[in-house]
Amino acid sequence: MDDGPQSAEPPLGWAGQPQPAPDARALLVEVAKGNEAAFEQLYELIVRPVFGLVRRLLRDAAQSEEVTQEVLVEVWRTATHYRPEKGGAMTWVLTLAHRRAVDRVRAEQSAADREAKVGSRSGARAFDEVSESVLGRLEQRQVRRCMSTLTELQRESVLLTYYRGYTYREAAELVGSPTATVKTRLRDGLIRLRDCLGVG
Amino acid sequence: MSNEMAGLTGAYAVDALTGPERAEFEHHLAECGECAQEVRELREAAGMLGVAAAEEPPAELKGRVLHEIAHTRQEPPTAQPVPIGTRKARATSRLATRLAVAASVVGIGLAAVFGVAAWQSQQELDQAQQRIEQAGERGAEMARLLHAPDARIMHASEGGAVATAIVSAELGKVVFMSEHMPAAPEDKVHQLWAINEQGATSMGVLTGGDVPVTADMPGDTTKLGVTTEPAGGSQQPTTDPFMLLSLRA
Repeated sequence: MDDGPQSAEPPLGWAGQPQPAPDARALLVEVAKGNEAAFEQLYELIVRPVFGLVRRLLRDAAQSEEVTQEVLVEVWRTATHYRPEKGGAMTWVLTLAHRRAVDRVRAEQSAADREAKVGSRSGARAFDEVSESVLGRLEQRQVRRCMSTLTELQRESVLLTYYRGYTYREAAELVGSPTATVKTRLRDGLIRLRDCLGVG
Repeated sequence: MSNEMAGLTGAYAVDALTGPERAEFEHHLAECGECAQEVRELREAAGMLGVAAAEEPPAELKGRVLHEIAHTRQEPPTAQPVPIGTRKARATSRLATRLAVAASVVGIGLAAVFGVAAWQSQQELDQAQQRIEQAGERGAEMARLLHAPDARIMHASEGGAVATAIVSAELGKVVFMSEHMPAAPEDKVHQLWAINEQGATSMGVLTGGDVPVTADMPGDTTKLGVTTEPAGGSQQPTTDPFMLLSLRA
């Protein structure tokens, strides 16, 4: 477990390979059969992305740890529903993690709360923070390069929804654009990202 | 309409739809293979953003997770996971959406009754809707309960038997469903109880065959329990519950 000096680098290199964890798929299939040793190996492949993503969405360290644990146990519990022919294991795991973290964020904020926040300055600040610190910390060169091919509004829409857990309507409030526009830009941005990364 | 739906793939892929929109879109997904493919691809792309966010978790997390999975039962591959995100869909959503959501959850119970798995395709969805109609009052009651703003879904398992309850304290109602519940011995029945600090209140006798039961639930209920009782049921439980469902989150 000791990784030596603390490193912000994710453990999975992906230069030139669209699927960062080539054997995560096989491991997850094994996990579905109740193989705890396979789960332990899979854990090493997925825990950093899961924790990092959950933390980015929830912010609070203790809560992020709790939700990360819930997600990993859910991976074990529902591995039986994973269909390898329908996509990569990392995507499956991160989809689950994102959904759960976003649900937690929304459950904790009443609608009124959120609306007040979206309309306020703290909302605008939240976006600055995203564009500076999050984008600044995207250390994977490929992702950074691909994100830079998006238009400003596409990038904002993707970052505010994916990393901050906002609905597209809330994101529209934040960037001051019509919801229909943000909805479209969000999809266009993800399509551009997909094509640039060569996934799907 | 269908164009409008197709445009939501991006927002859906990154969980950026509100609850009712999400439920409606999931209904649409079941009949739009192209949309489902696009969602898969966009999720793959978004997942790269997740990988890029990787961060070292606390070292002690691993031990806790491995300990917990060693005590956690895996879901059977045929059961569809309950779409948690859709369970709060509001009454303002379209009837079809409400039926779709209800079907997916009631499907758990109806699967037991009619021997079918929860729906996946449009055809299965249609069948599930039909089954809800056939289930009549009970189906309608389940759907109503499901759409209570505070509806929660609880699971418990004991031996090979699995119990699921949909609970709304606001409505004071519960739907209790079981799977693979062993038959009661001859001259005995299984009885469902609402348990609080004062004791147990009968919620009725389970008719066997894993048929779902809808019952009124006292507001201060903390647990649901199932006991084995003499035929006809008892005023108060005469045995310890062999299955307990805690309603505390």
